This record gives sequence, C-alpha cells and structure tokens, in this order.
Amino acid sequence: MAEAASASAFTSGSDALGVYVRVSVDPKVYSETAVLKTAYWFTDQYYLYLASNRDTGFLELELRLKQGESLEPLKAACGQFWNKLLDQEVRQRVLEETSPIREQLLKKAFFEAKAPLPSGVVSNEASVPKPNQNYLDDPIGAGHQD
Amino acid sequence: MEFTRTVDNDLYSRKALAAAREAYREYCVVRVTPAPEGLADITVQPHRQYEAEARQVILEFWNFFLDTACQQRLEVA
Repeated sequence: MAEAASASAFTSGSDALGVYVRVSVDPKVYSETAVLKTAYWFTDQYYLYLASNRDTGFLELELRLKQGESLEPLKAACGQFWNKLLDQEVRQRVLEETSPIREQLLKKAFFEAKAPLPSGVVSNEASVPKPNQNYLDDPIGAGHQD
Repeated sequence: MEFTRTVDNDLYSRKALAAAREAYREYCVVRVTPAPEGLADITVQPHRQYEAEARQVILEFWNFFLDTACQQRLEVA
C-alpha cells in the first residue's frame, strides 16, 4: 500500500481495490451536512468512502474511479469535489439564514388558508336548481340558437 | 477476495448497514465486528460466482451503504 501527498489538498495511493485519492475536510470550515450532500452527489460517478479521523477531527473522503485505474481523472475529481463542496456549503448557509423568513411565509400562507370567511359574505344560491327542475328545462331559451 | 474497512457508526448507521446488507445479500457476505469507541470493522466478501467482479461488488456495496446513510442523516437534519 503506497500513499503520496499532493500540494492541492489530497493524497493518492493504492490498495487491493486499486488507485484512490483521499481528501481531508475540516469540519470547522465545511459542515457535515454539506459534506454528506456533496458525497451523495458524487456517488453517481465515483466510488466513495467516508471516514472521520478521530485524531484530527477531519472528515476524510476516498474517491475511486468506477472504470479504470488512472490517477489523472481522480485528481480532476478532487477539484470538482472541492468546488461542489463550496457550493453546497454556501447553499446550506443561505438556507439557514433565510429559514426564519421561509417559516414566516409558510405560517402566513397556512394561516390565511385556515382563516374563516369575513362576515357579510353570503353565498348567492338564487341560480341553484329547485327540486322540480332538471337540466332539460330551458325557460329563457339559452340552449337554442336564433 | 475480501475487503475490510473500519466505519464510524455516527457516519454509517446500523440501519443503513442493515439496508445495504439486505440489498447485496445476493452478491456478497458482510461481516461486522464491533470495535471500541463507536467503530465497527466491516468485511465484504463477494460470493464465489462474483469473484471476477469482486472490486465492483465491494465498491458498489460501499456506495450503496454511503448513499443510504447520507439519505437517513439528511432526512433527520
């Protein structure tokens, strides 16, 4: 098992399952939710494994190609991963910042839907058919062309 | 071929493990050895008829396991 560090925030190595790259994510910078969402997104294209390093407190993510054993596409995947992670983190923060507003809007929408009708609003039922009328009756000839 | 990894139960829940084990029962045997401090050693061994695709079976199992664990965690959050 060999492992090599890179200046661009990942290490690469190989084991019985082939070549992998590993990125370490600082949970003080990126939330666990953002990491999980990004990881979930990446399982579509890569094989992933997530571990928490108890010594450093960092989350470590291992990526492998679904097909092939080349390191270059994995390096590119690391770059994509960091971009996607940043994107998810920003989305997460915006979600948290705007959650009180969204809750207020939802409350308002549901409150209005549940509110009783204002007084004075009465249904006009003058046009409701009477028991002795049926749809064939046409007293004003509305169904006949001139 | 078999492959063992250590997982943190906080990240990979037991419920997700049960789901992954059930989903891949036809392809591999999954052995779990509890370890101290909320960790567990998980060994995946593909069935003999899938030995030629062992890498794929093992890594697909881990992807499924991670997907399920993520879904469960994100639903709760």
